[in-house]
Amino acid sequence: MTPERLQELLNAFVDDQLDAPGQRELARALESDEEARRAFVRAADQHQALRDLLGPATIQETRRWKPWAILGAIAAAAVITLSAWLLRPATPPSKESPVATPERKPAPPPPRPQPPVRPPEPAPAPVTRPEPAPIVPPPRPVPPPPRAPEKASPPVPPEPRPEPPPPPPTPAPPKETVIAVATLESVRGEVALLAAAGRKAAAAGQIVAAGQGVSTGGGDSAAVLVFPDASRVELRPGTLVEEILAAAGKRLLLARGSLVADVVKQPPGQPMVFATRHAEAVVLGTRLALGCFEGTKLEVKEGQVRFTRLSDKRAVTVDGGEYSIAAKGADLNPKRTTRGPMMAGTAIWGEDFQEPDEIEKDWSLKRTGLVVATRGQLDIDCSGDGEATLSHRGRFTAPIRVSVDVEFTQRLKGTLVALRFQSWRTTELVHIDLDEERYYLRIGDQNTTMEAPRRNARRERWTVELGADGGVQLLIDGKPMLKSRRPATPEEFHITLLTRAKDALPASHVRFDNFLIERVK
Amino acid sequence: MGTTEDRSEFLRLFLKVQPAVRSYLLSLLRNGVDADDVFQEVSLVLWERFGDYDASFPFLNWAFGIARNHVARWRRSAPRTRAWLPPEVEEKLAVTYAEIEDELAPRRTALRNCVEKLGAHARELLSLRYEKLWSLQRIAQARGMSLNAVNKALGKIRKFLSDCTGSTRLEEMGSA
Repeated sequence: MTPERLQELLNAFVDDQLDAPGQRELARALESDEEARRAFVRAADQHQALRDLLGPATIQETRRWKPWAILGAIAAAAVITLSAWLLRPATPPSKESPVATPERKPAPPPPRPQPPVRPPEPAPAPVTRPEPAPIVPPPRPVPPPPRAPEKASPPVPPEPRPEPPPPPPTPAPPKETVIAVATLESVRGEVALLAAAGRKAAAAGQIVAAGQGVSTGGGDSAAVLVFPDASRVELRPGTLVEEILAAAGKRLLLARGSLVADVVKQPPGQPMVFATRHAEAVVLGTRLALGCFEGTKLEVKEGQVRFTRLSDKRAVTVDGGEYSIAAKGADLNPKRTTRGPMMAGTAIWGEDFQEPDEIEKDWSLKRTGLVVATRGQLDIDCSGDGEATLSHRGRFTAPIRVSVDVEFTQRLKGTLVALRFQSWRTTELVHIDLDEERYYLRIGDQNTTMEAPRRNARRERWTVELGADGGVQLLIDGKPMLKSRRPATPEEFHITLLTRAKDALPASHVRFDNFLIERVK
Repeated sequence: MGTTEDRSEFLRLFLKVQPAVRSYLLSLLRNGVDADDVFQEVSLVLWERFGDYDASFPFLNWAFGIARNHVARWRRSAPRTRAWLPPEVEEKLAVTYAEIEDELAPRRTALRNCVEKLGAHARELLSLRYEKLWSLQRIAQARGMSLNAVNKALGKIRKFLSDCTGSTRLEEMGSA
């Protein structure tokens, strides 16, 4: 492998761009070539150092490395341990291992310059599933790359790309008739109106003329456009609508980013058209979401949308509760939407735990002591002691019905599983809890309980209905279990899935799946 | 671990090895968020098991061993997280990390100064990638560049930083 090729692979590795053949090629080089291993280690270490140096202060509280929190915990633990030791020097407390298998002292390494790094023990036995097979094929000999000379003098800093020249000074706008096509109902954060004369910060209430565009910045920037027929288009952060036209119907050119549209029924022959560089969505009346990134993804909540891929003019009809993707190599045929706010019917939000990146955007994970996976399902390994919560970032108001599959792989000894609703404005809480013996429905100080009919490993579907009149009901597998009431005041809730474990049975897992929030009457 | 001396010794060793362990975890898991999560587990286990540590052997090797065990646990708990390297290569990488840690540590120290030497556009590109955590595709769209151009630009920046941190290290060695 040439040094250039190795460098390509290393860059692709740190940028998460390495495809399967690239992974195999890099793995072969790392197996057979010591210089490649050194280059890889330098590249990975620099990447990690850049993450530390430049990484955001808070991406998500819980999925972010917090070294000082760990050091603080270590220091606090040191004090506690020291105190315990001083109080009971003869009989130090025995503690259950937080890991599945003990980690012993390492075997003595041979002397440098080849110090082996051996795991302190054999790999632990599989707990619930077998270890996946390595994806790397049998090694092939790779010739060592020529050694690249180390540069001693600092090179000239690279300039990846010059900034585009600033726009020319804006001339005085000519007097002409302006055709208003929409109004900016609300703006948040960085929002700009784009006209031929240039770009100006936008304000709520501003008119958008035919031919103008709107852009939103990063963070939580957003804008809502309202058309004269009451159709609404919400532009999400990082979105550029280059042009809005209103000739025969309406036309928005989405250059990048995403939007959600509520389109009222359009006059015959005058559809609303959302165009991107990949596709066109022709709408006669619907609620939809459109995202333009590497491709264009259309999600339809209600009604039907005609979706045409521009590269080959192939068109499909996307119904409510379906999505379609127009992108190179993607299948255009509509598929059922299984997560997010665009699921069919009365669903307000669904989560199938299939897209970890999307889960990170929509949920906040907090955990102490427990290992949590959000791939395929929310899986909490209760081998250790601790707590894990996954809270939806959205706010929901009653009347709603929330359902989720809950699975326990062992008897719930020492484990609490919960679905909780917390008000944003007050401390009002609705707890649905289950421990080894009972279901609990707690609202404020009121506690209603019922003995759990089954104690062993099982999978069941929990459904909680929060009625508009304050009624709260818990159903297990569709069977009513507990009822109570809360004050019938309008509240915005956020919803949390919680697991707490202390001395749980070995290899016990709690799993949540197929989470669904629905609007009810 | 019962004494203040033990605690101080642990913190001294832990702070010294934690960049290498985090980097090693990132190499095995590829995903930075996963690596951070596993590292938090590893940190606590290192602390809890520090009494088992035999100071006649390198602490880094002991930490790598525990890290590898926790990577295995992580993969079992998240079955879709497949190993991309055979176990023997994971072990070879640990050896390489241990061998060149003396080189890596000063490079990490020099990195901040080297980033400051970058031009404004390069720093902005790094910021999009590492601070805003944008994908290359998103950077390409936002900056009106092709994916290949972003790839090459970031490659050049990394090369510059690698050369710069390496030369800083050599200068320090020369002045020592």
